[in-house]
Amino acid sequence: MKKTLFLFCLIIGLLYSSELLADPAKKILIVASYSRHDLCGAPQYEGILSALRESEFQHLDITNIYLDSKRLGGRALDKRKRELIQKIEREVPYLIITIDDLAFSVVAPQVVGNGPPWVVFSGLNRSLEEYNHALHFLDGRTPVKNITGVYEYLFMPEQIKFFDLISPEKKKIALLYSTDFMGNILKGQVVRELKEAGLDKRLLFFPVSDMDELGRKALQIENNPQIGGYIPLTMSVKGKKREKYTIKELAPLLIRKVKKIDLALNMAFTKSGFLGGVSVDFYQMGHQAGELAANILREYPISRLSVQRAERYRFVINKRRLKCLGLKLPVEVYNMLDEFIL
Amino acid sequence: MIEAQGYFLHLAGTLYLLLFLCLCCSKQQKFFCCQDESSSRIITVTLITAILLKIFFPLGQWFLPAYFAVLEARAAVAIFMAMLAAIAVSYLEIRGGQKRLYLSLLPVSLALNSFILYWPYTILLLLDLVLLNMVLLIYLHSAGGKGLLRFCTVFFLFFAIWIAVSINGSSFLEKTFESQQRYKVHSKLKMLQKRFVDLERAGSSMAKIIAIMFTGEDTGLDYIARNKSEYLGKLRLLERLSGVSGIYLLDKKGHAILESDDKPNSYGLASLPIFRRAISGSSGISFLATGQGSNSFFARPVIYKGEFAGALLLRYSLSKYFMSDFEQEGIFLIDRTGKVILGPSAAGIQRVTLRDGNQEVLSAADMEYGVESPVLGEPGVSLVPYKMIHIPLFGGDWSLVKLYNPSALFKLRAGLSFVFFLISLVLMLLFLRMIYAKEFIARLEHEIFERKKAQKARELLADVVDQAIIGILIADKNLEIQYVNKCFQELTNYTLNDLKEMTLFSLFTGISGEHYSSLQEAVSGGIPWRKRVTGIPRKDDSRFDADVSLFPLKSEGGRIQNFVVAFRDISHELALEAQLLEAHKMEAVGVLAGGVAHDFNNMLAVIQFSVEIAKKNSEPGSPLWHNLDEIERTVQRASSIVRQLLLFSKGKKAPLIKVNLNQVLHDLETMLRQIAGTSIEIELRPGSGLWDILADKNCIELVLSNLMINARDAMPEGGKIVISTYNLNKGEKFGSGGFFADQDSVCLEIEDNGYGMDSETKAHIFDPFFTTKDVGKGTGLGLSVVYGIIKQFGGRIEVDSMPGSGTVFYIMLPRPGDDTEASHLLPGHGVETRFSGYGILLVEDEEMVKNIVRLALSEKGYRVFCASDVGEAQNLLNRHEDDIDLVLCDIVLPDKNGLALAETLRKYYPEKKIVMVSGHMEKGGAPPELSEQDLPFLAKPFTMADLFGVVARTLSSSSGVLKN
Repeated sequence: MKKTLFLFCLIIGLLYSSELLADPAKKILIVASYSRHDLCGAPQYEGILSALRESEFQHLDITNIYLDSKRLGGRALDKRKRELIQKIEREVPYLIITIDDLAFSVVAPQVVGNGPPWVVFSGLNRSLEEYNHALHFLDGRTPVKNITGVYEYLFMPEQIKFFDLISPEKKKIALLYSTDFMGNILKGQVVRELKEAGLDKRLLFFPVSDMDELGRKALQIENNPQIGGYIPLTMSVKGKKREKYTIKELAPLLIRKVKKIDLALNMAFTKSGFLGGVSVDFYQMGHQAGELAANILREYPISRLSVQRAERYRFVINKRRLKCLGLKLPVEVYNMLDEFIL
Repeated sequence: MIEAQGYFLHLAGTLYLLLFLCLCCSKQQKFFCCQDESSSRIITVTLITAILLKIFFPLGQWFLPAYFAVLEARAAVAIFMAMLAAIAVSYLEIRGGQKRLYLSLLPVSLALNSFILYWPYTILLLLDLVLLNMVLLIYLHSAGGKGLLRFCTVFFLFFAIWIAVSINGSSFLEKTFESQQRYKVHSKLKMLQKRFVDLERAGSSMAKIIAIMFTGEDTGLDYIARNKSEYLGKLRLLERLSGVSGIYLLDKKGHAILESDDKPNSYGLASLPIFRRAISGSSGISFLATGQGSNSFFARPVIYKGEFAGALLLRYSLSKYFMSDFEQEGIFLIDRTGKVILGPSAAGIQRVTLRDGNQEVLSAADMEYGVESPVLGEPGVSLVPYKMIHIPLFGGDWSLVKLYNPSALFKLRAGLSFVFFLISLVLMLLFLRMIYAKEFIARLEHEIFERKKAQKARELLADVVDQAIIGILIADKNLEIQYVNKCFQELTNYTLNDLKEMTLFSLFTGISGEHYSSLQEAVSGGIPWRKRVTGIPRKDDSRFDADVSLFPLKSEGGRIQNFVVAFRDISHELALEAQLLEAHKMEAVGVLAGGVAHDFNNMLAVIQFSVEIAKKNSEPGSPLWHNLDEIERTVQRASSIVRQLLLFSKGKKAPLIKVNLNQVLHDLETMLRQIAGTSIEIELRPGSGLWDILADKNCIELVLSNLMINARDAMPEGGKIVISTYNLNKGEKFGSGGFFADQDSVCLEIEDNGYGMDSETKAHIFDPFFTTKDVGKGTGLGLSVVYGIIKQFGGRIEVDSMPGSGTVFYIMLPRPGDDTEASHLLPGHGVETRFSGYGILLVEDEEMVKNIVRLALSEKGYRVFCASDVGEAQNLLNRHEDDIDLVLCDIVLPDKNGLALAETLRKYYPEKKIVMVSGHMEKGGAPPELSEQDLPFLAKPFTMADLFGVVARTLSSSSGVLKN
């Protein structure tokens, strides 16, 4: 009798508990390439969250993972990557949202196929063709597997127009880039965008790998009269002791050494001290990715969720840098600004 | 608000309680475990309370939403119910007696439901359901045992699965339905959000255009201020063209430099956050509910020569742009605090704060205006709480909110619940039906079992009656015979068919009139009747005797239904009684004969001795001698008669040896034929494998000769005598008189075909001196002697005789056991040796015998000392110890038994010889006590030769005891 009673209670408990456990909140994993407060990553993250909040889903189980690649390197980064892969394998989230290239390059090869997990990327700088060559997840811009997202557009032609507006001599523009993973990617993207607009010949390339080289190249840019401005893409540069310096840390050095128009790729760079220009709106880019993610949560067919390009940019100028450079902008330019950073 | 599973769990719980109530209130007594009426009542009340409580929760939300939303009200109900539960528990505890587990668990369920009122968690509902299941199972187990428990467990499992499937199914349907509704609402909000984003972009672009148009290298804000009229027209034109409701150019301090309408300050523009952000370099949008309405403000910085000069603000009237959407869709724009900036215009809803802290779902109670608002739905339906969907706007500082009425969802839920309840009810009713069916079957089985049991008992009773060893007859009230058992049929030779035409009284035809009339009286009076009835007729007109009992069988109303008559055959019993009576009579006669024989023997001994002495003193051939000789022969005949009397009277066994009757018959065949004579044919039929018996051959000879003489005398004209021997096992029937062997015996059967005997003669044939022969032809002691001898052998004699049909004597002699040893007859005769001069102490109380024996012994040369009793003998012994060599002692003495003297002699005078004398024993026989002591014995009457022989042999023996 006791056995029967126990079995009975157990089955009832299990049956009813299954109801309690039924329809759990879908698990979402947000993987950022950099740290929580990264100038590029953080706005995207906010935009993603905003879009998810705007969706009708009230209960979402969101987990964040920061690879923090700008700070970590070598083994520590590899370890973090392994942990991420293990977590994905263990928990099998319904949706993974990657922020920037590194996160995508780690996650996508592991999960590419038929979802779930579904993958939404945000802020890819490397060309989609390169990724597609390896993962075969796109047919044009239409996903054929479980991956879609928003790739970053640097609005380089608009940037060149802005440069010409304040420096009508149409001088060359130096592309100072680090030879690390992100530096090369960004350099490639810049070239690609300008090439599409037929403006790539305006560029002069200055790759750097360490601080010494950075110093030398900065000096070359400063002393080269053909160069009217430069685009800082020194994402990560090694120091003498092999320590890493990120763009945020390098900005004061470059500002000090190079007294030329520095075209910032985004508002975060501008806020770091560069002059600015046309900046991709990271928040909006993240929001776009977030809306794609919401549609995936709504179980829209992924083939209908084409890969998108970042749509919005903001026209931002750093007032301090402007003064430092002694530039005088036309009134119209001022009134075109979306933001005039003090 | 409770979710779908909550409703279903409530309904399921209610059904369980209803089921419990049905079982408790069932008329099926078996399920009403609680025999205590008060406890039953309290359980019923508890169940009804629990049901009300269960119903109260969902119904409360439907019909009393405002009241139900108040936590305190729910708490009050919860506390009230908890108190009820506590009272119920206490009452049950106090009452004691009917302490059952489910009685305690039920109030716990009640209490749990009270808690659910306050904390409507699904887990509590589940717990309650599990608890109810347990209570029901325990209840059913105690009511119906393991079989019922197994059935109920299976059903409850099935029901649990049904509930789970229903909950999941309905939950899925509801969620799908709700998702669709939410999605619709959300889509509308998204569209509106898109329009707000477009508004912001348009504002941004428009602000840039205006800024570019109004400012130039030489036209700063100061210039514009100075030439306000020049710019004002342009500004108003732009306002009209762009659809903006107001354009305001403010300096850094917030002072209006240029405005398209005349009331900029009434909006508090300088205090707007976006103004401060604008003069810090950022552009942005803000929404504000003002006295005139709700507006959207877009602001951007105005930079002149690289410095912030002020801010340009564009005002969009939200009412103008969005009011129709808000009105139509019931959408609200709220700020971070929940304050409504824009919403449906009816009932001043704008003043309402929609969000209270983190509470996302607003109840109708909070919507005091909303209830009346047609925007929020029909008032009749608005009893249920509204649901709110919102999406953030511009980073979450504002939200677009839509309240929607989930009545459709509730209607769906009500429908699903109804279907669930209906099906569950059907299941429960089915379950109840099955329970009752099981109960009915159980009762039926029990009844069948009881009936079978009763049937078996009846059959047993019928068998008992049918196979009883008494005859039983059942007649109806009209005395027509309905039934007779086997014994009756055997007893009377009547079958039931024979008796169909007979009445009860006809069975008793011919019995004594007194009995017959008393039987009639008993039957007519309906009273029991018991008599010993003789001469009850059989079918073949023979008659039997029986103890007859008659009693009426009466109905519950006391009316006579049947008469039962029992016949106990007493023929065998009567025979035994007769035997017993005969035995007693014979014993009495034997005692009498023994006593007479003793005295006769003494007298005959005196006569014998006197005659012998007289004959010595007379001349042989003289007339005196002849006379003495005649006297002596007469004495001897008389002595023979006395011996036969003694043989008849002795109840004690003579010394016996193992003999075979066939051998004895063979040895005596010649003698028997001589006795029978030539006119009578004798046929011997010795049985094969005949057992040995313990007997004395001489006695057997005597028996046979007596019986042969009787048979011969019964056939004066000749006939045939058949002598048979055969074994009889115990209980075996023999003879035609219905005799039974009472032990394993050897039967000696002597049959003649003489004239036989009537019953009167048969009753006295063993009496001493009873004879049917002519005077002088028989002593009347022959059969008495036979009887005495057979009795001595532990045997039995039966006679079967009818006048004219001959006589058969059956003599049963018991088969001895294996360990039985035959005793040996001590020789009574010895060798006469003369011991002249030896002293003999004669102890005899009979004076004549004493004198004559003393005289005879003295003549033989013995020195004779005489004593009359033991005391005197002992005195003589003391005085003449050396002179006395032998003591001749009578056994029966006045003061003590002669054996006591013998014992004294053995003890104190072991060299003295002893001879015991008695007139109670036949010649040559000795009483057992003498045999035990190995004492020589002389039976009275004895001759002188016997006396001298015994004395001489005893004196010549070395030990004083005559050894054989």
